[in-house]
Amino acid sequence: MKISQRVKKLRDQSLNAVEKISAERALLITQFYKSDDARELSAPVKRAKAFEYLLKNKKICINEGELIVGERGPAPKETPTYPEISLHSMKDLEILDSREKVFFRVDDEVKNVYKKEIIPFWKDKSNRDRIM
Amino acid sequence: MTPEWLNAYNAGLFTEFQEQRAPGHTVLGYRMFKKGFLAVKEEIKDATDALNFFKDSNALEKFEELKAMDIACDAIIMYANRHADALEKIAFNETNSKRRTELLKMANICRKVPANAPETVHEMLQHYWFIHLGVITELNPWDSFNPGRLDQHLYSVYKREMESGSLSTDELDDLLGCFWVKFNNHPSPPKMGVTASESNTYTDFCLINLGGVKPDGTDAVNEMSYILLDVIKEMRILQPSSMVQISEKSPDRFVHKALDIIKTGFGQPSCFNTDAIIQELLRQGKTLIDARNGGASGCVETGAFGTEAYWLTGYFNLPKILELTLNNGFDKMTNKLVGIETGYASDYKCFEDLMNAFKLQVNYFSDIKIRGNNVIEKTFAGWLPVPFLSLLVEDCIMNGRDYNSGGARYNTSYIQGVGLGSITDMLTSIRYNIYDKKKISWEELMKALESDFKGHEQIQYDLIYNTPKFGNDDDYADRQAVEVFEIYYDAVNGRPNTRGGVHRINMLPTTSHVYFGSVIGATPDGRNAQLPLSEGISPFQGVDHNGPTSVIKSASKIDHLRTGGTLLNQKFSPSFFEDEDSYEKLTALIRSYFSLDGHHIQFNVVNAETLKDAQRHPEWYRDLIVRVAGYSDYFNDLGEDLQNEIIKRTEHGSER
Repeated sequence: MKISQRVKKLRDQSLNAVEKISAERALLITQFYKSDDARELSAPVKRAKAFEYLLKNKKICINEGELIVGERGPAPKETPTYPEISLHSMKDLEILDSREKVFFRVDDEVKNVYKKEIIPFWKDKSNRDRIM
Repeated sequence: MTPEWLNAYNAGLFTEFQEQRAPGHTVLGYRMFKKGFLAVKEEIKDATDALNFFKDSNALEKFEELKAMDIACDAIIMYANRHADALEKIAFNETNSKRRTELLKMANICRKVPANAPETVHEMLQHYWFIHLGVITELNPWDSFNPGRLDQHLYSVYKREMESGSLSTDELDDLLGCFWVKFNNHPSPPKMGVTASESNTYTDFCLINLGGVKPDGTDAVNEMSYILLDVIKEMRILQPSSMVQISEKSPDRFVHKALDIIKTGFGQPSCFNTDAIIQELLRQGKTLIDARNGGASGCVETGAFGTEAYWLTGYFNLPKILELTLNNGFDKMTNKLVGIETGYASDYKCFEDLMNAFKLQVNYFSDIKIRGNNVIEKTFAGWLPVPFLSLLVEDCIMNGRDYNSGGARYNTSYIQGVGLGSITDMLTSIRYNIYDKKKISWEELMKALESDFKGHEQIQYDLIYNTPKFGNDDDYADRQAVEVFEIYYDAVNGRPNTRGGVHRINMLPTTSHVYFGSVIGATPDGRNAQLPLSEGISPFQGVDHNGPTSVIKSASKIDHLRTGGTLLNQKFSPSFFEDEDSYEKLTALIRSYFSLDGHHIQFNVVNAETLKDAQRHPEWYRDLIVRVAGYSDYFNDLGEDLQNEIIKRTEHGSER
């Protein structure tokens, strides 16, 4: 295999990207669960509509030079959370942000969204709360 | 969860996979590489039309599930079209005409797949990538998701394109390079609470399979297998992980090509025994074709690709159970009665008495774990169905049932045993020093353990250096490994889950051997309190002194074919590869282990001195990658205890 300039650039971009928490998915899923559209549906249809809502509203990321497109988060290594499965506390976010190894940076905006929107809605309601 | 479950969990008897992530552990099969979601919608329509509201009392549930699946099909097509829109917009403003043409081509591809079946390599990779994103956006399933047998899926399309001249080698390299980077852009979702120490890595365990056999049983290694090995070598990034499936029919050239990469110390690809994987799957009742289409995912987990939901549910701390067995079920760390009251160490008059008590404790904790699993499975079935993932795994559509409630053709729940080498050495030491040779009394040993060997250094020395150990092809030690394996197997294998399948065992730790060691005091093998346990089915670090042939002979005494995967790591010094026979020797070692039914073997190629230097000067070693247990990681990203554990592993040079 010959690594072209294009692939080298994308590889470097991936290696140098900083792992960050993105609140995008958490916010979208919370909006959906709060909405009238989510009420009175069977569990599978509700989850399908949630899936549709996420894919309809999440940011489209297209990186320069790439041939295969699509990112889970708004940009490479910007990592979503899944509050319906397990909810990060403010302390968890602090730990992830400040951990020396395998950290995820959490900026103030994300912390703010978690404090005001995500935690109040999902506290004691995630599946982790259901099972533990 | 019950108080018994919580006590055991808090004492570190087992971990719980589904606490922070959704069940995943599945791999895309060939079906969805040949099909678009418009055709899947037809399947859904047929299944809906076939519902029988007169005779089937679950018809309405199935109707709702199929409706959900149909919405999910539309959603992924819409998502691809949003990319096409964005690409067209960028193309409109692009001044470089070459890139503009490229962007418009990409837009066309996003309009075509995943709605329709892909027909070129480019379309196939983009098609898979949308599917991948769908799975990891719907929920955060374990092991992200996985294209599985990528060389098989790509080969015929690649061949056709090369023949027709529609794809050049440079274009292929670019496409594969771009595809590889995509995996690396996606770290494993961040953990929370104490679980951070259980599996502390950015790696999300997507494991690409190369080689193996075709559905008709013939050798599956093809040109694309070699091309992808080249990509792995040149890209040299953590994600995706990769492995080679080696069958008796695989050519040596294929193994040598894998060794070309392994010797660079990258820890990839890992080596798997296709013939064992097929037998494991057949034993579990899969058809021969489904078994041949299977492989390993995650670290080492056997699965039927495209047809099986094989959930890992938690690590199981076998050495901790022995500690409780010596203390009448009482856990000194949490200061609670956690096990059952089977007696204290000195109550066991003979070794068999001890093993009987140990067996009762293993049964007790596997009961607790399985009860918990069955509750947790139902929470996912009830509250968190995954209609998108259900489209991808056969026969969810036909059954009108979700992946999370047993819709797949095969449904397995695994509990992963940890610390086989450690517990074997502990039991061997008790058998040897207390019962057989009577070198020490229970009272003396327990006193030494309670004081973490302070003031009892001679005892510790004898336990370490003058006691038989697992990993040296010594039956005196290895028979305890077999006995523990059989007890554990009997406690778990075949017990029903809630999805129409059963529980089974596999033997792998990821990084839990560090966490599990941290909750155990000093042990009869001479190990100090809180230190890591052995990893996978590898011998305890540094006690295998007879060379790698003895290690594979010890490791193959347990019956791998009754598991869903085992993990053996071996460390070789880089100088081993200076010998011109090194490839032949290592190929022979791998093939010998596999002829003994070994499931998986992986190699670290690095000096302890290099690793120690990297601890002192991490800034000089930013690129140093090592094999941990079933995956590779940057040495700098590992916790210090895990770094030390890897340094302590026995390093093989040239064998005599």
